[in-house]
Amino acid sequence: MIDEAKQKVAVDYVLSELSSAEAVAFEKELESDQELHDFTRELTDGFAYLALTAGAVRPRPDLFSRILAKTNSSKRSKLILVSFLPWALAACLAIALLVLGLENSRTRDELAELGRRDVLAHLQIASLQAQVSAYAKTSAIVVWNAQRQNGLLHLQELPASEPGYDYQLWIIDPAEKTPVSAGVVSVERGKAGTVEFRPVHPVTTAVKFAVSIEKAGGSTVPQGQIILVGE
Amino acid sequence: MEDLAYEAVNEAEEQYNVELVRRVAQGDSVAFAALYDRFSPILYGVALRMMNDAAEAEDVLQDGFIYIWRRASAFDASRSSSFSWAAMIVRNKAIDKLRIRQRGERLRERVTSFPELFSDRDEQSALEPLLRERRAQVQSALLEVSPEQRQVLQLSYFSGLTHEQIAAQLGAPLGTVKARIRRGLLRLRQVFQGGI
Repeated sequence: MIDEAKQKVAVDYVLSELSSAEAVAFEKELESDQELHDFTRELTDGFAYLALTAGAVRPRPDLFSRILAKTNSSKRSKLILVSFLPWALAACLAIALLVLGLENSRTRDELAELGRRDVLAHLQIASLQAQVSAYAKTSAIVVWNAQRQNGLLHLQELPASEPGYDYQLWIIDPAEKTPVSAGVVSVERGKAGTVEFRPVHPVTTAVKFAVSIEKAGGSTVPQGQIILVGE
Repeated sequence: MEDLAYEAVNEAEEQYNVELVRRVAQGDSVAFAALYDRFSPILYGVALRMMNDAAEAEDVLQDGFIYIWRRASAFDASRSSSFSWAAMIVRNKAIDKLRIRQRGERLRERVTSFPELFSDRDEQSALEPLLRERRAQVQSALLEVSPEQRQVLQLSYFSGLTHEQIAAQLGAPLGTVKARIRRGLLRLRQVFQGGI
């Protein structure tokens, strides 16, 4: 139990109201008092999240280039082209997919039971690679739940589609003569976004996923250029 | 069940953010770009609100992210969430600039005439889902505290004024201001109790 006097010191610490010497002394206390440490962390997060009341405003697009130039970075172009599958993002998507599938469930017991059945093991994760240079910077990750026949597609840095055209996701199933449409996908230009998808009819095995450029509204079979593919 | 699943998503999301910071510390500029994409809309919003000037807010955001790039190795996930760490860096950069330029009076006037909980200048779609959820939680928490507590919390956060300065500005006893801040902060803490 953190007494009121200690709470006051913790608040002053979080709000930078302590002198340097007092702050150093308090930090020593934090090292030896886990409860106080946790309490202070929660205060810090609570205070920091007041930032969210400011409202979100996108900075102008070229600001990041300016920042990057100041950091004297030379690694960006090299790294952006390699397969960058953020494991934790994939985990996020996988869990999000699990949540979507559980939206009608009612109890913690059900989740525990699903955990025991290793539901996550049924999820398939694919990183889609650019097939044309214009999409070299695009990152696309698919998480597919074969049991539920639904999935999530996370896109980053996808250029805006040309007027009159849409991006369309396809599932390649060897049992099908043609790729199975998983619908038109869209993410605001230059932004990251995640869309849920379902194939137009059930697929047996999803061996690959692909994104193509199709006429607005999508096609029943791929007719346009394939820009991203992954398995 | 939903809470449990939600916590799992949050945890995975925070793990991802922490992983990004770790990679930034190793000089990975792709991770740096990803972190910027995630945090810059809200941090630029903070800078704008504090500086009340787009060019200065851009400078603050720039200084903040350069600091993040250079000092990512100093991030300690046991002491704050990755977002808290980044937000406090940008806030501190803004406070430094405000103090250097001696614009306190102008800022105080503006902040105290900012009674609404959230800015109208808001692009919620720019936020990652976790931050959107956090935003709703903060809103809910702030609605539960008294208007006086809310006022001093916002003054404390966005103006960078000390408790004494806030007390002087509001014409309230220092002890009262401190108590309001503490109670308000304890309420906010409850929102994030258990870590994120």
